[in-house]
Amino acid sequence: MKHAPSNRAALLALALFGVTGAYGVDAPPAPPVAHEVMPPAAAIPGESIYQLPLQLTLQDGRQMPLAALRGQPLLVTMFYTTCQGVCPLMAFTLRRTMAALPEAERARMRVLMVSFDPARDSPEALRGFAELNSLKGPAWLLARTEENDVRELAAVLGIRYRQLPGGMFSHSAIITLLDADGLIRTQTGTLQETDPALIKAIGDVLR
Amino acid sequence: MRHLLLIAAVLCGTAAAASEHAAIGGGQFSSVLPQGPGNEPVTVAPFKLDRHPVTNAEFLAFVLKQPRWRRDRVATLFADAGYLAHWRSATDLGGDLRPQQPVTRVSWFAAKAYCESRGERLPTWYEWEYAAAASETVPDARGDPAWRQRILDWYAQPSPPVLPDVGRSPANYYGVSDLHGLIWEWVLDFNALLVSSDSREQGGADRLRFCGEGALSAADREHYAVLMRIAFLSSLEARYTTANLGFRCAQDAR
Amino acid sequence: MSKRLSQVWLVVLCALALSACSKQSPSSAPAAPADTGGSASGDFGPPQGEPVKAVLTSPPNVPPPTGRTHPAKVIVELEVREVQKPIAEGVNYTFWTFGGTTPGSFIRIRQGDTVEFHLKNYPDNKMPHNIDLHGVTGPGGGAASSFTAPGHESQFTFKALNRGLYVYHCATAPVGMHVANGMYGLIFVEPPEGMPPVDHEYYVMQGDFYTVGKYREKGDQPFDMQKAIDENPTYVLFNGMEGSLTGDRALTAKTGETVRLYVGNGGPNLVSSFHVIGEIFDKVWFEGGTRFQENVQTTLIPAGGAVIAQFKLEVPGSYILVDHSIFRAFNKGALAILKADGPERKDIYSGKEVDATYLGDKALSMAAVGEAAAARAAGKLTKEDQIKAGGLLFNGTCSVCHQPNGAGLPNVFPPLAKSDFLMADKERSIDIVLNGRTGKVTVNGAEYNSVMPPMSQHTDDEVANILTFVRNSWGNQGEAVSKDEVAKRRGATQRPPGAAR
Repeated sequence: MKHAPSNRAALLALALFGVTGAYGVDAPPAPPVAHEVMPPAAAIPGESIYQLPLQLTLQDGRQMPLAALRGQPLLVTMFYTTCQGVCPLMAFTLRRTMAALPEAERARMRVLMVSFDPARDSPEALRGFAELNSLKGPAWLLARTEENDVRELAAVLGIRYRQLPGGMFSHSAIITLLDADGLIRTQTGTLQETDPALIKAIGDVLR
Repeated sequence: MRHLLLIAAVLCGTAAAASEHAAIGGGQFSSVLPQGPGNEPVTVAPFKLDRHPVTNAEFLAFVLKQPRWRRDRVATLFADAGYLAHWRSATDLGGDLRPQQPVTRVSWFAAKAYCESRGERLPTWYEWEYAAAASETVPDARGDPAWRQRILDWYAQPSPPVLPDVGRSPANYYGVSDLHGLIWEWVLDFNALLVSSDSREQGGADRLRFCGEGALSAADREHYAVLMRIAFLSSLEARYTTANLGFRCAQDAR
Repeated sequence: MSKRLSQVWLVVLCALALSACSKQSPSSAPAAPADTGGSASGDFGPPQGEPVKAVLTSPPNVPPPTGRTHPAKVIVELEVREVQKPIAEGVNYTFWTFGGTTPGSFIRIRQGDTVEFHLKNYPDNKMPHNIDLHGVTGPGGGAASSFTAPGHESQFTFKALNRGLYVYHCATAPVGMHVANGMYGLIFVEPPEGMPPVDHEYYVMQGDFYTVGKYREKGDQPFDMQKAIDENPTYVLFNGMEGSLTGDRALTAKTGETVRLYVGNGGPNLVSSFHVIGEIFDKVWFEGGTRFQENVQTTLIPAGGAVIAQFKLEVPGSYILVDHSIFRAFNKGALAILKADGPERKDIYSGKEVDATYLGDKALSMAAVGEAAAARAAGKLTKEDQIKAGGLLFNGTCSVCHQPNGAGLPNVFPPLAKSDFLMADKERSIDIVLNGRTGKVTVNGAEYNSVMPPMSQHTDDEVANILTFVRNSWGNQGEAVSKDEVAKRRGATQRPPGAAR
């Protein structure tokens, strides 16, 4: 954990990072991380999930900021690979939902599943889950991000979770539909069956 | 020039306040929210906690340093329409508010950003509960009906027209004050309090809704003073602000 | 199979088939339905027409009948307010309320309506709140969908499938505390045909309250959780305040009118034995349901339940609504008043007819008093009759102070025997017996400064007889006093406060 900076360091950091750039971090300068530059804040709508400056590592090892997904509607949920109960069910529901879409719509939809468990869910583990649950094709994005960012993403999506002593997670199961700009259009907790309201909302958002 | 002087003054004030931490030794305790099935005690590692909540002055300094968090510039994803609505302007408290009052009408994102700007973090629920279990003289006063009644008395009063300044009530056993009787406070894992929003649901039968162990049901209904904190926090979303909700920061002990 | 055998089988099968047909029950049309079908028959289809904004009323008023004949979409907007206000005179309590009142606003809809419910939590409130309406079919009665932080609003929609009078209340932890602080009210789901019209409908709701201080201990009183757990209330009240429905806040009606009370019990703990002193409920829709009982004196209202009680008023007066667990009414405040105005109906209720002294077995024989009364009525009363009767009445009443021998008590009570003061003025002596006397008097040369209480509870006959006795005893000699003289004096003067008649 970082130590509280002295006043001097704070002023220095202020000078270095400027006032509009870094979000919340006021630490001594760190080596630059290889990632794409974030689009200017003004362009992203205030309510858009892409305001979150988090970094994703996908199952194929690619790294990208969350905001790189902007431009296409997205189904988002959160899970973890060692989950026995609900997560496989969620994956199944998402597959059925995608299958229920007309061909043209399905081609334009993507699904992002972010792990609660970055410590254990490496890209390899993510690949394993995708295999096991038949989540094949470019539409399926399984990702991990930093622990701090997991909490923030869950907060934005209204998902509650906590880690239990055995390493399992207790969490709510919510599927969220985002429009191309990252605004939440609808959410559903319906599992196993496809939610007709969700299917309709997907149609609306692709129009 | 005046602006710079103000920033300097406020920063100095911030620095002074930032060093006011209480060191709290860790331990095991029985939480109102069990970690899993059975009522195993929770282990809290040693940590440091702000002696009192973050004040208007401290938060103003932060907002001036990071204008992204000004109420006229903050992204609506991170704060609702009530964010800092009581300040006279985006950069000025105004004459009606005092610098040493606890800052309220701040969202979880804003509170988190403030603590991170100091290299710290929000306390976890267990840390907050652990520190808040203390009275002035004993580390765990939760069995004392008089202590419980004092806390309930705060819930029984309506919001005061003017919030008192921080640090006015006596510090507890750990040297921390205002954990009760002043404001509600954000915790880092407020969205880990998996209580159902219908507070009468018991035993977490809804396994599908909450994968794993099911919704937590408060272990000891006698600790209703603490239950009410959980009830309040579980009504919030991360971007919410309310007139009685503020925060303080914590950090791991070294 | 041979042809013959198969023919036999055919006949047998046909016979069997025919007999099976004729086994159809010969009984008549199906029996009348035994129930109204519950929620299964409460769905009258989608809402019709423009959405309607629900009229909410504060207690003790009830919104008017919906007057609808088809299901509608009804918009209900209810605001939660935490307010500090009196619970008894000089005693303040922080109430958590729906709509600013305890009980909360009365909601009236029709069976089959679709309700779009908006719950708003006033920004200055401290606590999160939600709502559970007992008339909602759905998880938590709405509580799960209405959990609202201060400064925010929640919305959910439900269809009212069951008719009846239902309680609503907050269900946020700790639920008992939210309810004990006044977070309850009533929602009435009218039967599709509506309720029969009455002259007045009133909204009353009982609740138990728990304060740290004692009953009527003044000041700001906080909630006492331990007393609530022990079910030991400080106050048991109608409509959230002692005296909320008494004095000039009493419910009103006229004789000849029919009154319908929608009565709820928010609890949190106590069951109510609801009774109106002086009236009988002509009809009680017990438990707020569909059937009614008739001619009920006292009806039970469960905690979290309700009742509809209806009665016609015949006699004017103040009718007291109580919880007949009677110490709650007189020592904890569970008392409300319905004032009925109108002409007297002596044929139904006469008021007091006889107020006679009843000495029980203490009287030797009061026969003479009765005889004197009869003689006077017959016009045959003699002075001797009066003296005899008056003497009996004097003993035990006047003799206590003036002594049986009329001597009085020196320096304290003046004598009547040979009293110049008494014999000097007959009018004045009648006056003193009727209206009492305080202050200095001089009797037989001695000064007395004491208090004689009025004795106006005696009838005119009795006063006349007592005075005749006194004026003709112990050496006194004087005229008799007649009933008419006493009656005239009684009419011409005013009794002091507290004296009878």
